[in-house]
Amino acid sequence: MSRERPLLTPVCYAGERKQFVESVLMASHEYGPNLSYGSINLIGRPSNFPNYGDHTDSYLLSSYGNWPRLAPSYRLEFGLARVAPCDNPPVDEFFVATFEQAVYPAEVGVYETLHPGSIRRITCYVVKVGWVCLWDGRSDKWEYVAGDGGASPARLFLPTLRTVPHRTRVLRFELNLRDHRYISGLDGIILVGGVHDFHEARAKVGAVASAAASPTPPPVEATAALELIGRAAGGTNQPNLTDMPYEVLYHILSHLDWFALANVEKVCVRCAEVVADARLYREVNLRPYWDRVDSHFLLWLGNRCAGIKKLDLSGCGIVNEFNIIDLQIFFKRHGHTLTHLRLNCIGVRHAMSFVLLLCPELTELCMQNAMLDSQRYQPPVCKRLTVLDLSRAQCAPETLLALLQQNPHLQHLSLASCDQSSLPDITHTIGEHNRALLSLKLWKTHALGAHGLVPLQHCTKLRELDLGYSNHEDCAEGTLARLAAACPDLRWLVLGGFRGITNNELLAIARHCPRLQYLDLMSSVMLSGEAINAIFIGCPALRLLELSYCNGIEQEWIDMWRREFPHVDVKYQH
Amino acid sequence: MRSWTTRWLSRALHQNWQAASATAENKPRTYSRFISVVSGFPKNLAQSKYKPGKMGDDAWFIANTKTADVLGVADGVGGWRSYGIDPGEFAMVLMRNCERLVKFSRFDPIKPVNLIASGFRELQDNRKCILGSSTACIVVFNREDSSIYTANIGDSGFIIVRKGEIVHRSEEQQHYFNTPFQLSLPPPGHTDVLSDRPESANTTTFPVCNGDVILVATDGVFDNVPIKLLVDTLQRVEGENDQVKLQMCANSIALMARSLSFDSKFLSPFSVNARRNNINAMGGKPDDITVVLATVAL
Repeated sequence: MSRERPLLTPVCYAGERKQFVESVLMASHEYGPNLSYGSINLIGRPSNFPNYGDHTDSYLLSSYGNWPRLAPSYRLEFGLARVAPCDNPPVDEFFVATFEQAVYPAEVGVYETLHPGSIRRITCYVVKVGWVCLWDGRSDKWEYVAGDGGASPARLFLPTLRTVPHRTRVLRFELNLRDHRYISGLDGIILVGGVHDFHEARAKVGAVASAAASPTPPPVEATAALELIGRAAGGTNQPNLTDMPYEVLYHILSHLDWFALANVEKVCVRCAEVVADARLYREVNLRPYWDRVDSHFLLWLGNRCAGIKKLDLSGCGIVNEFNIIDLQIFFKRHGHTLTHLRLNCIGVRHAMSFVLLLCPELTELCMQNAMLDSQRYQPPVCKRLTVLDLSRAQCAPETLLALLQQNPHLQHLSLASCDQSSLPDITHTIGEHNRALLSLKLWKTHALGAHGLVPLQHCTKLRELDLGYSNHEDCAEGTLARLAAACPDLRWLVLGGFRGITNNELLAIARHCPRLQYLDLMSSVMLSGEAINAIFIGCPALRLLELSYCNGIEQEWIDMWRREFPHVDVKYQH
Repeated sequence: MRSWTTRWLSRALHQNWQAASATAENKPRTYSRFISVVSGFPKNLAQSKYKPGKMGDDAWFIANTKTADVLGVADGVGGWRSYGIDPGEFAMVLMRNCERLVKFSRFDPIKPVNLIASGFRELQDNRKCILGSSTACIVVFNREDSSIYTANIGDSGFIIVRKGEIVHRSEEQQHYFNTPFQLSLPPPGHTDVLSDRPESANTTTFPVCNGDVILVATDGVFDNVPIKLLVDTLQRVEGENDQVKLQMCANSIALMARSLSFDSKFLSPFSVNARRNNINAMGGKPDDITVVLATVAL
């Protein structure tokens, strides 16, 4: 494979300026709560490019492939039956970056320093216009540059942008990591553009003109119902769509997504009647439509969705398209019927304070990246939760403890990357009150002491346990072994960076957890090849084994395992 | 020998010149600031390649924000080499973490101990298991009140010279002779290793005047160069705003320390201290030398 010198910076013409990221408003994925490997490393000049590798001062995306969807903690999305597939291509993560000065975007370059190819769509925000698509590669086939372990060189990714006649300084990048075989990393983003419209200037120089696509979002695919409505519009003697019985019209319209319904409503009074039927809004998933959700739409939805059960607003409102008052009004009207609520990474980060008070029927609550200040404690009213996802959230300790104590039926709990100070004695509470847990994530909480694992032995139904970087001192000998013995149903176990794993603990896991499918042992330097070999023998269902930076294991073991157990994906980076 | 040193010095000068011009264009023109340069030699000059931020097992950083200028040095404890651990890695990653924290303004200029503590915590977040230990010394110049806040763990340190007199000096923190206080991450299973918490650092704070000279260095300098010689050299650059002259002074301090460290008949401060502890040591102490020199321009 020829290695040319990688392009270090895109072409910049006179009158244009280059800018690096000034701030990151929101990132849906963070490796941990600190600076290392976080999205904050996108700010400023790239620190490592063109050096290839997993540097601490680059942005690392550690979920890859299909594994997040195979984990026991994965919750399926709801409300997607009415979303056209072209509106919802697979998008796993996103982040929003701002630049100092608004320019007409000419080039956007992404410095990828580990396993390139994750960026799938770039949209820009134009004040008073909304989100405009700059480049859409979501349906492109991802090409995997061959090499053992994925040795793609670092590259500066320069997609061909559409011509956008607006100035912008906010870019949103959507990523798809499903085809990746290992983690990917980004080092920085560069925006090249001029303060004045540059198209004539660039055309004169002879640069390749960008694809002349319209800046408006792609039209909604005409479904059969719309075609019928279109045909019914012409001719007064023909039977009208609106002459049909109400139930038939309702059934037709129930296949449309919510923005199409807003359009249909304007056709005639009869259509408006049907669109106002609250049964159309029982399960609303607005995540694929994040670019069109604003306070006007929320109000429109709020006027129609009495009795709404499931709502997903993840990724909406990053640049304050709606504010906390709009959300509060919505929840005051409809919070009492909601059973499933997902507000992951929304722009309004302080929604937790009223959500916990206004929604007593909730069984699923996902509020990643939310914030709850501990000024005045008010007891939460949710008592029926089965799913609680507070990854990267800042939650006051009293509220968290109250939530755990009040919800004995909790099955899925995620406290990944939560601040240690909000988790006093967390395993004790979990062991006491949440014994029905199927999955528990304590990644990077640094909250457990030497005996922190002991209370978890009560949670015998555990299938997924994420203990990566979760203790601040070495765990006492034998506690992990006893936990493995208590939870024979374990399928997903993450012990990367867990302090105090020895070979004996691994032998106990091999003996007691035959259903293990996914095991992460990154940077466990005390482990030797024999103990890992026991895992291969004792866990026939194993499919992924992460052994990066385990310096105690020689390369011969790795080669032997890859040869003898080809159905297991062994990751080994050192 | 001379060709090595001149090549080394010219490379260090060029490096710092580039860094200085880069920071000069990014930083807004503020009224009070440090003018800082760095110089030094790794112990094994012939074997090591020059890498910015590192001097053998020592590491350093200089960083500026709108509210503060920060200097830092760290000295990796060489005893880990026999365990197969690279002693310079810990110090280097610690200093790079502190530099990043300053760059993203995740620190309080009044509490440099928290900077060391956060940098240490970030070390534990590394995917690769970083082991080893090092000393650390951080000097922060807070523009708002024109004062210096310092934190020091171990035997690296700083001195401030004004009008030919030492006005402030750091204290060496040692458990016993040649065993300084140190931050450490021992390999798992080794519980009997000396490990001091970041909170055990000595902290001081004092106001500064225009023209003060601040020297932050590792023990390679303080153990080999007598204090009077240091003060005389620093006195000559008091109030100096020209970075070239400052760089020349830093180079000469580094060269002094290097030559004296290999002089086997010289009664260095290290050997004086050794004799106080009933150890017969004569001559200089070969060690990595890191010199960070700054003057205050108010």
